[in-house]
Amino acid sequence: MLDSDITTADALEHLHRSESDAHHLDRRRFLQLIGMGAGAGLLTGSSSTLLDLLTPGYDASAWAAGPIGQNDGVLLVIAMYGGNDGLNTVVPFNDGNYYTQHGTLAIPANQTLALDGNVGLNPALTEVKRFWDRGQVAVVQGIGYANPDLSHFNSMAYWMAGRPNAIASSGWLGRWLDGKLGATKDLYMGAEVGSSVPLHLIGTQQRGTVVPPGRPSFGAGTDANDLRLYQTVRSMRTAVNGPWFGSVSQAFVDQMDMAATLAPVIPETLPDIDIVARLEVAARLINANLGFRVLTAGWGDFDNHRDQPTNHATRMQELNAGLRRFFELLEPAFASRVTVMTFSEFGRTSWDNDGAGTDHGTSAPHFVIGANVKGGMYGLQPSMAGLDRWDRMEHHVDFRSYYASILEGWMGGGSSDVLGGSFENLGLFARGPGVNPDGTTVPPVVVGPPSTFVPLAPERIADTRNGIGGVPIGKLGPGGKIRVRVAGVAGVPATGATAVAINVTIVEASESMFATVFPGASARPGTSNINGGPGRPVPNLVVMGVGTDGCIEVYNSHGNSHCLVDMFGYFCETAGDRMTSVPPSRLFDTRSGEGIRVGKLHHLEPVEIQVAGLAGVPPSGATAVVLNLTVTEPSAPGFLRITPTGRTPAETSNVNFFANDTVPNLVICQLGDGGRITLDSAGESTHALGDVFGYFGASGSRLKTMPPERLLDTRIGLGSSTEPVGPDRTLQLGVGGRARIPAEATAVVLNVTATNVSGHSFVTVWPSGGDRPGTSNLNLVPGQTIANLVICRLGAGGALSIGNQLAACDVIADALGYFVD
Amino acid sequence: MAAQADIEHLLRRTEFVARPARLAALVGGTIDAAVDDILATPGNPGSVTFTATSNWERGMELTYYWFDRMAFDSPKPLQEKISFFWHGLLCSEFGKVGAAELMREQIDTFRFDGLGNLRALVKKIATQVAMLRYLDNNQNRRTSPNQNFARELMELFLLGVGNYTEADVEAATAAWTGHTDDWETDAYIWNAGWHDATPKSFLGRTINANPLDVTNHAYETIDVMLGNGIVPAGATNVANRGRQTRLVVAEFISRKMWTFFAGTSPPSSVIAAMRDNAITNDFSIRPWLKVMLTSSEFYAVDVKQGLVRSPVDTMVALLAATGLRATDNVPIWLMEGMGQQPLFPPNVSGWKHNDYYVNASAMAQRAACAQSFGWRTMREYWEGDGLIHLAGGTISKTEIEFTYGTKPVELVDRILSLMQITLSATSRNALLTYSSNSQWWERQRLIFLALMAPEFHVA
Repeated sequence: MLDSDITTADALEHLHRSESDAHHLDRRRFLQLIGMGAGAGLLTGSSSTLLDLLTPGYDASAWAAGPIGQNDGVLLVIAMYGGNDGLNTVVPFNDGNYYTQHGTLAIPANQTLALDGNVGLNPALTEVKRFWDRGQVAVVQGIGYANPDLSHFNSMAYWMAGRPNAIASSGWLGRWLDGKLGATKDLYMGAEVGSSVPLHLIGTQQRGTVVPPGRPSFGAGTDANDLRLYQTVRSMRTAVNGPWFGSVSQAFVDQMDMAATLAPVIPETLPDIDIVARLEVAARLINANLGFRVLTAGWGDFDNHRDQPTNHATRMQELNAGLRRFFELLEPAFASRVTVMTFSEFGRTSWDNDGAGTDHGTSAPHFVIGANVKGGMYGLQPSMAGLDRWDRMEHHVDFRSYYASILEGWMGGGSSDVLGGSFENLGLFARGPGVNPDGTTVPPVVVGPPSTFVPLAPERIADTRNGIGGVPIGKLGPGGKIRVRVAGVAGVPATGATAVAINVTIVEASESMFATVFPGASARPGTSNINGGPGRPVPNLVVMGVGTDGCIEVYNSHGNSHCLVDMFGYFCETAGDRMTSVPPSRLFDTRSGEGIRVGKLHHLEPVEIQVAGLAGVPPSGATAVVLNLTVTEPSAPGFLRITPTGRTPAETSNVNFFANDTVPNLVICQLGDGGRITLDSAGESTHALGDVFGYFGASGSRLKTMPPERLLDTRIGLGSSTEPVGPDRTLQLGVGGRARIPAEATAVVLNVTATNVSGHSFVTVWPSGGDRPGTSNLNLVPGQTIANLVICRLGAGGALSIGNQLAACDVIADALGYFVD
Repeated sequence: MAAQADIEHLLRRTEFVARPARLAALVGGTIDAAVDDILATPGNPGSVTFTATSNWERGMELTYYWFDRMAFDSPKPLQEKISFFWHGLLCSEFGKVGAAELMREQIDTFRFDGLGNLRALVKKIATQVAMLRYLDNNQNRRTSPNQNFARELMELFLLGVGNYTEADVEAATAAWTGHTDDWETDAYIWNAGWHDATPKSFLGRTINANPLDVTNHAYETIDVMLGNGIVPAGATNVANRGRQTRLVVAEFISRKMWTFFAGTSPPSSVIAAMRDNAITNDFSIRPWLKVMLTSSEFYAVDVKQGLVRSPVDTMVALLAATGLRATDNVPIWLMEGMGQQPLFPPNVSGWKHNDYYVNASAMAQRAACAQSFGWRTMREYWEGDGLIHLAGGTISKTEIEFTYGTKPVELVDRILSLMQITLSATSRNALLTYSSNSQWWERQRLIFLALMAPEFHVA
């Protein structure tokens, strides 16, 4: 086997050579071999080795998903089945013929969303208008083909095939897949989000797959009895009784492999409107970075021979809602790598038909939308002058030119091979994929190298209230970010730090907000770390990869807030300690006197706590502890601070509280003299308790940080069913083998957020398969959204249990990194 | 005397599955005799009686009734199979048609007359309200023609694309004006005021010319296509220019039949023989089908291996193997995801075949469907009589969990026998491994796994 710690970039480089070899070792297969893919199915019950897969004739179908390149364009193709009325989509409101011929169907100029002095969008297309205003929509007018066919099926076949006036057996995107994949196989490069493979995704050798607009189940289970079932289905794979036997039995295996990969990505609850649900799934597939370059989805019916005003308006609203959902979900990292395009088999007649409808027409406008699209009008609106009832509009742009413009501008070229000829490139793109509008490039997705921990004496390294750390003085605004240098600061070396353990506190937030912390010089992920709001400071520990610029960034979602950052330690490859995660266990509790003296802490009264030798921490050799610290029953506002015993306390804080709060925060703290830590509190008497989740020492696991990634959201059924975690429900969250986390991960760094809290309660996280410990990670207050970092050992099947004993809440979990031996 | 394998193949293709009783009745005779027997369908196949009040549930009642006819209640299931063939060719969709009664009328026409005469069948279907609504002919007026039905009648129902010109579409559209419906009563209406009675040239013949028989103008289009029409010189299908359209229709429908029943690319020799038979017998369907079913090509290895069970075929096979009736709440709702839901063709070109159903997403729904059937066979297992009910009888909880605990081979063979299915050695071996390795409490999943075997999904 190859080194399982090879980085993505190295892997990709390696694969460029491998792709040309005689055995067609493709990129995905490679990624799977090195444990980066999630195609768990293939490995089930078998012992596949590189040699097995290099054996000609070995038909492993479970091509694991793997990330796309930084400059790979992704294309989302939206089909409008039935023939969309282009005149009522991009309305030529200055053309009197339109109002004469379209009769009662015509949309008054003042109702359209004007793009210029001549045309306006259908009033429902506000999302298209929003992108138009940013210069990110190309409206390509008058697309069609010579000798137009008025049959839905012929014309759709021509469009899908990319070849007019001939019934082809392959489609344009399928032939693009042919060119990309050659003889290798890949379930995760092109897919229809729907129920069958459309012609445009069928090539001469390759075909796209189908992702259902709903979460797959059969194949996604992980229990031994599930695996026995799946293995039986695998064993029935055979072509002994003809090619269809082979195809059918292979398709059953493919569907199990895809289910295992897709189930964690697709939420249980999807929007009711079909196309909106499909576009949501498309966005999530792109975010998951499984390798998809082409996704297609379609809906109808646009064939409005009658009742067009209501029906077409509904279709336009659905298109708009779908686009809104797609772009609101699409992670910023993909914004400059995704383009959306529309098509339909034809437009409609310029004359209405008395039944408040239109008949099959010819040319029509279509949209190309994306951050790198060069916004503007292309092509030409066909003239309606002198058209009689059965006349059809001419076309000005051959649909093959439309396709060529996409293929050349966005998909890496090759249009003449795909389209069987050279067609004009309309120049629809301002920049290629992966280049941001400001000229910066999309940074590579980096999974950090295995790293060990060096604890530091706590120190504040950034504060927007006073400019500590060189950050601008003043609150962050809505959507604002600060960049905080960590390399070379507070004991962190100038080079070589791969991650930091920092406590980030949000202060004086003007409204409910969340903060996202992410590595510097990388794209902001769709995750959150701290949920703040007016009235109280909210801290949270963050373990985060250090960006290539030596910084981390903090993003403020809504309103204005101050931000403080305290350093507690860093991770690197060359020195430091490994972590041993232990089953959660209570170390001390001032209410009972367990591990500490009985009674509340008092203002600035230091109390020493013995850690070494207790709660799973060995008597010697431990250098730092992972501790969840909880404050309860304080009589006045204040904060709690932890310091290695024997060191001078710094101006830092770990837990901020108001009177009568119960508030937790995770702490990674160096052990001081005698393996002890010192606790003190600013503010009048409070109880405090601490639960140990792990410790650092000479042996154990190393941390690999990753771009933050959401694994769980019970509000929509992502990673679970759509129901709260509550008294009757303990949730099992699969972590190992999911997303970018390999099955061999020993522990995970997870930011856990509780929201929609129905009553006072607490959330406990523990390794699956073990007994529920008497510890807590999140303390719930009705109406409050609260987050806390969890570093927890993975239990049976690489999973965690998340339980909540009293009142239900929704739970969100974002992975920041994981530990490997 | 025909080989048993050939009779089995014939029954799987014409009657969905080779039921043991049907096989026993036909084995020992010739293919010719077997085909005659299969084609000898009852004169009155019955009709569903609606009991539900909601339109949707009535549609479900029709679907359940039809599935139970296919799986159990018809003595000659070809009658139901051919009706499904027509449903996919001369199709209408429940959603657009809007009334279960209208869908029942159309489907019953396929069931009663689907083996009769093509001309009569198409004429009857064309003026039923289901079709008038589905393809918008109810909106087709002299002053604002709607071409939808007239075009599809030629393109998708009878002639095939390229064998007519736009002028023929316009002529047929005029001939079909005036046949409309009443939205309130769902009744057919002849609206003389909407009819365009000007004589038209259609496929080289004059139609629409008899002022005394205006309601027949529409039927003249069918008579011309199945009669003396000529493929015009302007048609894009160059090879057919100047040919008689009735030959083109006979070949078009013959190819549809072959594709539906055989699955492979149609052999030209068989299509020619089917065409000639159709012309000789003036489009009588029984002898036409018999030419195909008795051709040696129909029993070639590539044909025997050439067809994936459509979701409807699969559903019928599941019902037959488990003995569950459609009304036992079997998962009809999964059929859309499998790619085929009766009463809901995806569009006017109906359903496709083979590849169309073989993809990871559709197979996921098949797996869910098989799983659901597996559970439903156990409806009495946990709390009732402790028996799993299958087509050929029952097996008890005690037997599965204990008696057969040390006899994994016997358990698999007993279950397959009760389901009346035969599996390849590969599939059977996979089940044997499962039978040996599984825990006592999960062993009943052998029923589900048998339904996942590839041979269960190939026709």
